[in-house]
Amino acid sequence: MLTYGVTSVFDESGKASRRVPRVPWYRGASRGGNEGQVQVNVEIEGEIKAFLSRNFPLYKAEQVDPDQSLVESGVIDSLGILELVEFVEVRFDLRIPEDELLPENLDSIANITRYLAQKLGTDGGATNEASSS
Amino acid sequence: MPRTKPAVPNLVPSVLDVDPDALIDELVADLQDAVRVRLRKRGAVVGLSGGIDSSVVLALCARAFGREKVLGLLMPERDSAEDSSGLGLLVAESLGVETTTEEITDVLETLGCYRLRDDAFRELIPDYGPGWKAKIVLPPILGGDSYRLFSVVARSPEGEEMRVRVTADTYRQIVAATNFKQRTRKMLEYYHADRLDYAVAGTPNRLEYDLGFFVKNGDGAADVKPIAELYKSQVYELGAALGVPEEILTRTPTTDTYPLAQDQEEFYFSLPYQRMDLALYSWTNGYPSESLAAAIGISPDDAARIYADIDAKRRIAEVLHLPALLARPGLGLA
Repeated sequence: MLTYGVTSVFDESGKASRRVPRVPWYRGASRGGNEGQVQVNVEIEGEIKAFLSRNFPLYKAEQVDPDQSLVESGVIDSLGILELVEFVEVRFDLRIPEDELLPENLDSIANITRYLAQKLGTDGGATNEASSS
Repeated sequence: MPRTKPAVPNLVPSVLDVDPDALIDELVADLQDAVRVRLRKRGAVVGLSGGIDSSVVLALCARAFGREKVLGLLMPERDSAEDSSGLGLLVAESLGVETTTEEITDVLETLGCYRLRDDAFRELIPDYGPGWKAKIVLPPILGGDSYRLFSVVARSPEGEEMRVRVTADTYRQIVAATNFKQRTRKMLEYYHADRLDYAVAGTPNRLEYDLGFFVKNGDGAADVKPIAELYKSQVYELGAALGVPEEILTRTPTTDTYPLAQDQEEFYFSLPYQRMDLALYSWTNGYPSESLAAAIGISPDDAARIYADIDAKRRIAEVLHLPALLARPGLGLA
């Protein structure tokens, strides 16, 4: 499990606790340039995949394309979306506003990674420009 | 249920129209065969909520078996609406059917139903306590692409109302604790059915049955489900033809489950039942979502959202309808 030098916010079962990271590791992660940004995106994607793998029995990492809809493929249901939102908010120390709870931000591993990279400012400059239409 | 090509090209609300008298005759004959021949029982027990579904099932059973072979069961609890028992009694009296009242608050108290539910409410709203009321709601489905996440709406004793998004854990605990209500009621229905040699008649309509709006081993359990293939608007049509009292015919469908009054639309279906009926019919019979949009006057995007919501609910319903699975099917039968 990646902890980035902070106390893990997960218990032994991988479930998110209410605590948040004391040091938001991702802030300023893009200072490493494009290479660092790619690395952070890979790590975000890895965290999302690990979360899905721990919590959703129908998620098979080798069978789920990063662009595949997690809801339409039956991997997660509406309660699963709620769990995903909780995980993201706790793990990445942010609050997703109601108007950003959109499929284009959260419905696939690629969308989640892209959304988080924008929210966290690790996409090379674009910050908080995730879809909110 | 497989989706097929639509039988008629244009979707119109009148596709759900029925000949109520003919349908009642068919359902009565089916009920007689199911209960007397296949289940080998003498009559039926019906749990009465004061709503249209249980009223229609009671009336059908009274026609099928005779009013003396039917028992109406009233099972109010602390959170029941004030008029639920009265309306249940009203329909039973109009049919001349005997009723028994089982007050289930004490049972639920002993099981921890209220305490466990309120503990979960308190995790979201620390002040939640005596005098507070709450319910779970979904945002509207029309008009936006946002994921629709459950919230708790709570009202303080002073009348202040607040809305808080639930967490998955608190949602599950609230629902699990609340499900004691439906399961306790079903236990009592089977007690009376066993002592009378009756069948338990379930009351789900098609929206509830197909979309999974029931509690497994609670209101989802029964020996026979006479109206499970009827859309809600058809149940109302039958109710009128069967002489169900006007107060019940005009009452808004509720869940009658949470301390704060909650209608079925805000908790589960997201649309008024008339529209939801047509949406499920449209989906089931293979109409494109654009046909639904035209039929009920909504945008194509909204119709697509409704179809996606039906897809999701059907996935949940399929699992709820599964019987207990055998680890090794056929073992020992070779």
